[in-house]
Amino acid sequence: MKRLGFVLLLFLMLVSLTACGGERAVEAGADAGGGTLRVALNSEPTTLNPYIWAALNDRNVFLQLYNSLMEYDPQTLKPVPGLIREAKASEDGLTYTFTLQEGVTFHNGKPMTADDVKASLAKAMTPEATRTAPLLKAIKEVKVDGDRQLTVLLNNRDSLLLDSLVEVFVTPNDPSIDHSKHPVGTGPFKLNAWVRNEKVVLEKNEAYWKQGLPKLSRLEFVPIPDAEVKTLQLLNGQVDFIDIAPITRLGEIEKSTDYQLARLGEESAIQDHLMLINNAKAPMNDRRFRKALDYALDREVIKKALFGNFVVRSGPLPDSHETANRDIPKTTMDKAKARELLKASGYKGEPVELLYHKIDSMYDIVAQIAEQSLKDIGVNVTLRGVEIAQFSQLVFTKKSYDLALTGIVPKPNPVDMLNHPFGKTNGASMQWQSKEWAANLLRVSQLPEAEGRELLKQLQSQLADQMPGIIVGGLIQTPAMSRAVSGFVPNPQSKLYFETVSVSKK
Amino acid sequence: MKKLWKDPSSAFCLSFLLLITLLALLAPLLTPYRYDQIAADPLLGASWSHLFGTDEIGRDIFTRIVYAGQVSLLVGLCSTLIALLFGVVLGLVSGYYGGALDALISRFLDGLLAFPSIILALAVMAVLGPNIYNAMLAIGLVSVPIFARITRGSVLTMKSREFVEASRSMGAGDGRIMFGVILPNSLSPLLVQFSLTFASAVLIEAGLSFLGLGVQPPTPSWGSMLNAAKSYLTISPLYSIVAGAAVFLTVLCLNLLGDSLRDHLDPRMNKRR
Repeated sequence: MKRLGFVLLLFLMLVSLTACGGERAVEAGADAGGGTLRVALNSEPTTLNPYIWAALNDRNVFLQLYNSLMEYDPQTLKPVPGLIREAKASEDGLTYTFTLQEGVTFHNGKPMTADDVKASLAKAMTPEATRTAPLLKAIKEVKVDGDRQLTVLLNNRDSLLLDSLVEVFVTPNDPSIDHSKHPVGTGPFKLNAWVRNEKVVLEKNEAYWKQGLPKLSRLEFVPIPDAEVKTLQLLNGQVDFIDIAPITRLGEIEKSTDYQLARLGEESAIQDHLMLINNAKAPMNDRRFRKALDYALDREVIKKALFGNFVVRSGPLPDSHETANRDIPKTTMDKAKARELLKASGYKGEPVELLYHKIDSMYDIVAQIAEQSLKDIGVNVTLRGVEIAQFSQLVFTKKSYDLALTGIVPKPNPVDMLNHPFGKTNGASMQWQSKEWAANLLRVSQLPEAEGRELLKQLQSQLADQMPGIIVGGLIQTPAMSRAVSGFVPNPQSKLYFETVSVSKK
Repeated sequence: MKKLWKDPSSAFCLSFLLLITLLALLAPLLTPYRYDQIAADPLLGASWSHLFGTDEIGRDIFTRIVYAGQVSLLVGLCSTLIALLFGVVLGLVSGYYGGALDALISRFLDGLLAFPSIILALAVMAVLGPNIYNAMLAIGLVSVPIFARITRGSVLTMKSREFVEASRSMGAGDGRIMFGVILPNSLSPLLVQFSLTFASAVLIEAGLSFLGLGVQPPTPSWGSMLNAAKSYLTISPLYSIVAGAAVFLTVLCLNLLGDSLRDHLDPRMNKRR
């Protein structure tokens, strides 16, 4: 009898546990033909608020929920229409007139109007919106000229305004909505459920304004922190898509008939491996020493070791970019020249530490090859790998380092491609006395196009001459997916867009 | 020693350990490459110029294996010596004086023994920071209790024996009795334990380096090589096999040698034969 009672009790406990789980359970989404895509991310998003966000995982999830005012063409890296269908600039470049797309509705059924766009711009310009506020400084006033018309008045010319609008997402003008947990946007998917530490489930927005899109009926984001586990889950069919395939697994995935890589073309690779140099310390304070390091780097070996996921270049802009200064000779490895420069700098074998973070095995490989390249020309270098938090503290907070390797993701416009590695936080940590250079860089977008382009070329020449830090090469991160997935276009900023993606039935 | 060479298993182990030691010591003469030199393309297969192929950035794996042998054997030897030194002193003092001091030392050793050795080593490395010297210290520390226990046991059985009493009656001081009389008579179990601890030290060092807490790149270690190699298992299986085999065979041989030593040094085992 006692045993029967125990079994009944156990049964009741199981039933009640199942019932509790039911509340958290994801609403059974009808997989109505378009298929479900399961995407593995490093961690779950911290917020879905498109104005105040921190991690790339936040962005990659909310990109599916909202649309931005402009978008980037992944091939040309130029801004193309998003929610703004047409943008016209006045002759003096101080007034922009925007016409919005027709028939756009929010996930709550409310049609999108110019008033919502004005409110969204205001949110993106608040000091808390640290990612967008500095980009929109030139905006003086936004006027609503009807349901689909807006006029934006600027304080000064800003040739990067349309680029900046790629970062501005539109939400309803309704302060009662908490977008961090209950997002309402115009995007291809809407939030179905967010089961903490388990998954974020999105479902198709049936009223999406882009015809025939999205193709998927359901999208699931699963947090898997370990890169190896993430890859194994892809290879075992537990997920269909991983945001970054580990370098060490690229060869295996590439050869597989069941999986594929979405590799970005070299001409679109705007991300960089950057060697930060502490310009305030000897021997790094001598530009001949810094140039010697640049000539010493064996970039071809790095490319081989990273299975081609690296672009051999020494400048911050892709060689094919229209504003790249082609008069600057490309740095190719020249150990004799590097030794000459090292000697001329008066270097006498002082110990130099090359710091790197262990966030990905890719950085381990780049650091070891860089260390070897520097040793080859006679630099007394030692390698030190640390966790990312310690790296940030040593490099950006304390500025207590000699050389440091990291990766950077600039926006696809030439100003940010220079500003990201050599201005902003990185420039400050390199302690490069570059006030004039930085002021001129900020001036570029305020000048007429031809003048701005000329100034950009001069700034690149100054960089090549001073070499405050070294562009080790272009960084490529490659997503991997099942062969059943089609329609994914890799993005230069590693943004994940899934509206054109579909999953074929097995 | 002659007995050890006559036993086939011990002879194999001794030969292998001698070979590994010689390879490690003569590494600069045996290979034309430096351990950190990028000598060819990454992940090449075995060839005459690269006996075990090349690693993920194009360094010769054979060169790195033999240089890693230096690291592993050095860490193993030094950490075992650290453990032996502190363990013997603590064991002698604890066993010889007894009383409150014995209780205090024994409880401290019990505390150390309460942690699995790899976890304790990990904790020590996390506090001290990863480098070769801290690895020696951490591994040495976790092995102290076993030497102390063995020594204490020997002291307890010997301190009332006639020859110890005789030494005392001849005016020998505590230090002389502990280090000059009791210790030499306790060497057999310590020698056996030395071999076994050496094996476990090599294994712990490999484990720490595998987890990135041991020797730091570009200095090679069998553990860190195994960690790097595991990611290329399908592309370059030889890389993993060689790194794994180096750890496996060294530890196996040290353990088997320890067993043989015990068999030959323990009078009870000899009687059974």
